[in-house]
Amino acid sequence: MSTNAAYMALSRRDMFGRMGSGLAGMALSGLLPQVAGDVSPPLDTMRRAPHFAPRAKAVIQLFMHGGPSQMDLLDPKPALGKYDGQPFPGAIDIQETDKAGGVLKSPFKFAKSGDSGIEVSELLPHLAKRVDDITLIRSMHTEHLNHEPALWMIHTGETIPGRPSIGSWATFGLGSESQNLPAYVVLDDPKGLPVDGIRNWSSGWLPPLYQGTRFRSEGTAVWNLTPHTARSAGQQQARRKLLEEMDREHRAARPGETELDARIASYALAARMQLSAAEALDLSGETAATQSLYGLDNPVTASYGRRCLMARRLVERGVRFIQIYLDGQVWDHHAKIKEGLIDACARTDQPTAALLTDLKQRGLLDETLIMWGGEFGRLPISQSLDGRDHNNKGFTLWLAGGGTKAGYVHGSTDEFGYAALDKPMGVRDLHATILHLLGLDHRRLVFHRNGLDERLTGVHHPQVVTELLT
Amino acid sequence: MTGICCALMTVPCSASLADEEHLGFDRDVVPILETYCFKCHGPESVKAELDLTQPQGILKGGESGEPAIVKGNAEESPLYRLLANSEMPPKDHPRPTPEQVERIKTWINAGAPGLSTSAAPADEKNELARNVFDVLEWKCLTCHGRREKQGDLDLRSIDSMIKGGKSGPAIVVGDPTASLLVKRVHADEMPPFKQRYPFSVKPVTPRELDQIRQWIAAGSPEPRYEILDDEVQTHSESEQLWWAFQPPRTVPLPDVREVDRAVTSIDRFVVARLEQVGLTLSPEADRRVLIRRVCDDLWGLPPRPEEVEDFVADGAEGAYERLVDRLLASPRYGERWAQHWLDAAGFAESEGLESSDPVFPEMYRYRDYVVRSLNSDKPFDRFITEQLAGDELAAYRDEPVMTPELSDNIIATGFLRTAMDSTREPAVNFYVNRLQVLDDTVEIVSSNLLGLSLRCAKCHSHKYDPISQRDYYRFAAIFAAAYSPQDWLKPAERLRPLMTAAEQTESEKHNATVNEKLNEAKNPLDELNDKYLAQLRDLKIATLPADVQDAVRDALNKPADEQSNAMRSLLAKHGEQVKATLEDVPKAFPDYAEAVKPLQAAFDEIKSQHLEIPQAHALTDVTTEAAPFYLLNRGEWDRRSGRVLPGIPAVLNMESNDYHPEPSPANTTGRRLAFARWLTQPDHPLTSRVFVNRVWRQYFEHGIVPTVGDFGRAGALPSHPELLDHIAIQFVESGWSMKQLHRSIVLSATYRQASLVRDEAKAIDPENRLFWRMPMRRRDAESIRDSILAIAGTLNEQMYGPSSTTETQPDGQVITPATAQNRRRSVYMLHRRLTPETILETFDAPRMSTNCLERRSSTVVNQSLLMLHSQFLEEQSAELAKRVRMTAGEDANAQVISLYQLVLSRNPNDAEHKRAVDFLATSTSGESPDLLAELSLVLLNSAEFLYVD
Repeated sequence: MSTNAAYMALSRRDMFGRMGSGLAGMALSGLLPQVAGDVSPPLDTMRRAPHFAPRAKAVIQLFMHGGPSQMDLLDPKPALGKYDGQPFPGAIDIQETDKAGGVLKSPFKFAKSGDSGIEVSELLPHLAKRVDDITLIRSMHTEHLNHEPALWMIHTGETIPGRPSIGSWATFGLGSESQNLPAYVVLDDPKGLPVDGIRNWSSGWLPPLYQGTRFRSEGTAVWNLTPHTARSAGQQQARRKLLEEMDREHRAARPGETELDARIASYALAARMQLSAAEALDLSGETAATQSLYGLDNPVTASYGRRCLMARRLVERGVRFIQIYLDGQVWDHHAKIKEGLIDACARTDQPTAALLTDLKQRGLLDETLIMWGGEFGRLPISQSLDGRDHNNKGFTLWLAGGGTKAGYVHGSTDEFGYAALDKPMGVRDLHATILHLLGLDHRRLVFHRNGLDERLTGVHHPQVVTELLT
Repeated sequence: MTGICCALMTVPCSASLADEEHLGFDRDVVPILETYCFKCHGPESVKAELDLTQPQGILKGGESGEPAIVKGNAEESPLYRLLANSEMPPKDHPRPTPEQVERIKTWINAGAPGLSTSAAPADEKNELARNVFDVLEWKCLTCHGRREKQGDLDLRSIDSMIKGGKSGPAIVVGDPTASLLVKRVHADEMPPFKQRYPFSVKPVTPRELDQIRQWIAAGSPEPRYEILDDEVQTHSESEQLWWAFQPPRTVPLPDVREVDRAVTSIDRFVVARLEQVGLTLSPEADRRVLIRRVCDDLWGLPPRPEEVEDFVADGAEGAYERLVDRLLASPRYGERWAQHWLDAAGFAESEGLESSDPVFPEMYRYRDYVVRSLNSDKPFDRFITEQLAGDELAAYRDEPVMTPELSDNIIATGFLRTAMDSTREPAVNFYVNRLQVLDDTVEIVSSNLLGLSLRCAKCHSHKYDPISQRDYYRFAAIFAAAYSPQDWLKPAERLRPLMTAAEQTESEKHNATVNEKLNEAKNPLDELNDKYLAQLRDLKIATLPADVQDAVRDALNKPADEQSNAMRSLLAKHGEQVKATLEDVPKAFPDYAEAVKPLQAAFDEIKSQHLEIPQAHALTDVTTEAAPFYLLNRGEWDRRSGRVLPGIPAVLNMESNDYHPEPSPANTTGRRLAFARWLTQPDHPLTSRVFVNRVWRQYFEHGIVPTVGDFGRAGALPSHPELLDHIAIQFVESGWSMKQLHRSIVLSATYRQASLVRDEAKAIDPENRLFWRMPMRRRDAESIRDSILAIAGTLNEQMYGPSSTTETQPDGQVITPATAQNRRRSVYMLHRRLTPETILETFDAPRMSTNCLERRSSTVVNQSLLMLHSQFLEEQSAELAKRVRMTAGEDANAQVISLYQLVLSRNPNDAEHKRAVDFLATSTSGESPDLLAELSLVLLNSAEFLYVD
């Protein structure tokens, strides 16, 4: 849809700039179809051209909600062992002062892995084998150390609620590749929602068609995908046929009303999706080897593994942005961090690595960006003796595929893993970089609202971190 | 300008340095600045508080609080950075050449020779005093300030610190070690450890304590703040001349050629403009189209079949006018238009910050107030005055009785309680969170009522509009007497009783008597229950092994804190098994029910005498004397600059429009009332225009000013400026009557046009900016849901009262359980931020974060799936089939006609009729569903139902 592409490429001010001071000619010019803010842009998910050649066609975000502990998983800090139990030297931002203790060493061993020799915790044996495929960012930091504001930050770029998620922005910018499936799919945990629920994939004030569509990984995949009370295929066909005839006559009497075509098309898509969504999520056709690669044969890994495997199938079918969630806050270990991490890693390590393996062997990793990480990290000191409290000053996150370097470590934290030190990377830098990989310039991806040009990166000036890119 | 140059010439010692570096301020820098910068950053217009004509101005810098240059470091100097990045001068202004920018860089890197350093040295003492007062405010005043003076200590002024509290003076001027303030903070006794969390206070850092010591040692000087008023001109003359900042002008009605099409004055403007480009209005729409359109616009419901037929058959003069008057007189009108206002007000009934999304159960009163006000055609000026300052209109607590009017005044201020407010939770009740509530409120008020977004100016002066940062904070200060970050109230503390003080005392007295009686009635009830519970426990103990029965009984008879360890472990083992609860009693003892009945009835009877003290989410000032409010550099909560006094954006402050708050008898500052008075002046340039433009947009899909939320320079110009002014003036002259406004629009020929696209007109004006046709549009979310209910005959027309409940299903869909109460109109549905009702959300009802001035209409597959497959549609289709059978019986021919009339307001043509009758006769494999319900569902899915011509 060309008008939409025009809308994407030009902010309204660019438009006016081009017209000189020429607001006067606007009303009749015809040169300005669907100018943002003046007339709503066509709100559809038709595929549209990015700003420049993309490196990644799709994104799979493995969201590790709760704040995985960097110093126990991917950012080894020998100093923690050396100062174990001693007061933390220097200032440290803590929430619950009364439960805070001294430096807490990691209960886990680290080993150099892969050709790259990146050190990975013994808790992640499967990832250790794939470490040569990833870009490990050890210098992430964010702006808030409470879950909700940090969630809003990592998903929407600000620590306030109500803004569109990055998946919504990507869909808004690029439309959908798939004729039969939504562009932005969320695979949440059947056991429960993450903190803040469905707002994690909300389109905020972007039109609702850009919000994430939840595909349930058990039972019916999509809301209202099938009739509330079962109807035979013939019965459904009969009413679809009647409806289409009525709508086509209605449309024929209204020349020039293209929105009515979109309405008819959306009913046709509904019919196709009824078949394709079920097909896309049907794992029975996958080989036993694949199923076992993802851990579907193990009750501990099966649930998350199913969602990882579904994500691969969705990517193959042209879905643009996929988020995988775990229930609650699996990585939020305020106490008993050792036991907690053993559980969380047991659930996730194998399927995560399997997704990398599988995408790579199918030649899809190059054009699919994987992102693994949570909303913040954890502190080098103890909380309630054997846990760690939230830490927004430093955390670890990794990317793989989609034009990112393989076997590369970016940045570092201080000797305790507390704060990002070398090449600190903020969440907005991450967002700008992800959009860049999708072929979108974060400065030009603009939605006009209430007199403002809104961006994922807001009024800030983040950097596309080119060091991460091949 | 000459005067300034002279001033610059007198800057001392520029010559010698300039010679050394071969670059001089006067010779090399001033000419560049003069050419490109002085126009906006000079004494005539000090944009962003930056005056580049004076060395002091350069060294002081602008509103960011940073100097414009850092001597010796061009990269760190905003002046150079902004020039080098082409961020300044702004886009459409001439820019310096790269060599000129390079020259400034060299000059800065050379230490900015020639720039006098004789500017007043930073007043370090004052800086220190301000820092100390900041710390005291953020960390101490919650308990030792305006609202609370624990230990009789008030730390707001130096005098009150010296006077001290119960434990003696807080400070001894000049002697930090002798000062109690220092001692208590140093010992970490203050702020008290246990109270930090509940009061959202962080400990005083060692650095801050050090500053307190230094400040006391330095003689405890009083901090001084610059007062930022509107004396400094931060915008230029030409900016003040922007069209939207001039009062609406009366213009004579333009002449038109096609006089008979220009029925009303509105048409005159529209037709005249169309004729300029060789176009005219489309023909009048068919009556069936017209009645569906106007019913949807004014009611959000389809007309009943008999109403359609009556209207079509009414050949008498004024049939349409009579229809419009009837629609406007109906309460359905208020319900329809209330939702549009609630969108713009950001109405929601829950907190919206964490997953549990607590509901504000009293918020519905504000929604009811809006419905009521629209139906009674409350004048718009009164309507917004009540919402902005109803609490300031009367000291209602002192009145003898709470009249409906007094009550509405208080409920109306719910308008200012729609911003998300996280401060119930101590973890998110810090200054930054409190300022966020204020910030959102400013955004809601300014975008809704002024058609301007002030939000940008929170952090820096507006780049496109003449709204400066000080304008923003002065505007925010209007609301900061109620939303004072210093004297913050949590949401629950802002609930206000809807009773006068006298009535409340009376009610409480009554309730006290009731409570006494309740206690009396409770004794025999408790005794009876205890007796049965003891018996039940004995029965259960008897089921335990014989050897532990006595021990368990002994253990249970001891209070928990007197139990021995052995007893505890015994209870840990058997406690669950012997637990006796009241629920189990009736089963175990059949005679219990009979015994308890009279006692319980007596108890319930007394309880029912309890009088409810109704409350509303409302806003009022914390005190008559508001805490000082400051401009925040870069919008950061802890970077206070000068003090601001409440005011309106300077560019709107025309001489006649001065803003003068005066304390009101209702113990408020009068700030909001003065704002409301200013806003509702008849010739206010924005109030009437912004509102009528939004109403126009609701009918015609785009406003006369297409950017309904932006009348500023980044917005679009009006397509019909004279029409906009005409409607705005008419609106004010009608006594701000909203019904008159609607009437004048829907009676126009412009509104009554057909919607068919005309090729010749589309070629000239493809976007219909000139209104040569009525746009076809999809029903909005509420219209879809409410119309389905109305057509199916299940709509419950009950008005007002607590919102319908919603329920989140396991799959995440949010539905209203199918009760009559929940089949009321959508405006009465619970508007929860996190879990909006699925049908409404799917059809683009906004998920409220701040507010929504214009909904977008999407076309998306979820809508089709919902319409085809959801339980709601299935239920309503079945109800509709039932309704059709009641009138048409089992005759398929009659059924089809009845269905078409109900859903589409017309009869089917022969082909349609035959096709539908055939459908009713289809036989498919499998158990056949009710085909009439299936046909109903298809019609409710049809584009003809979903769209209005």
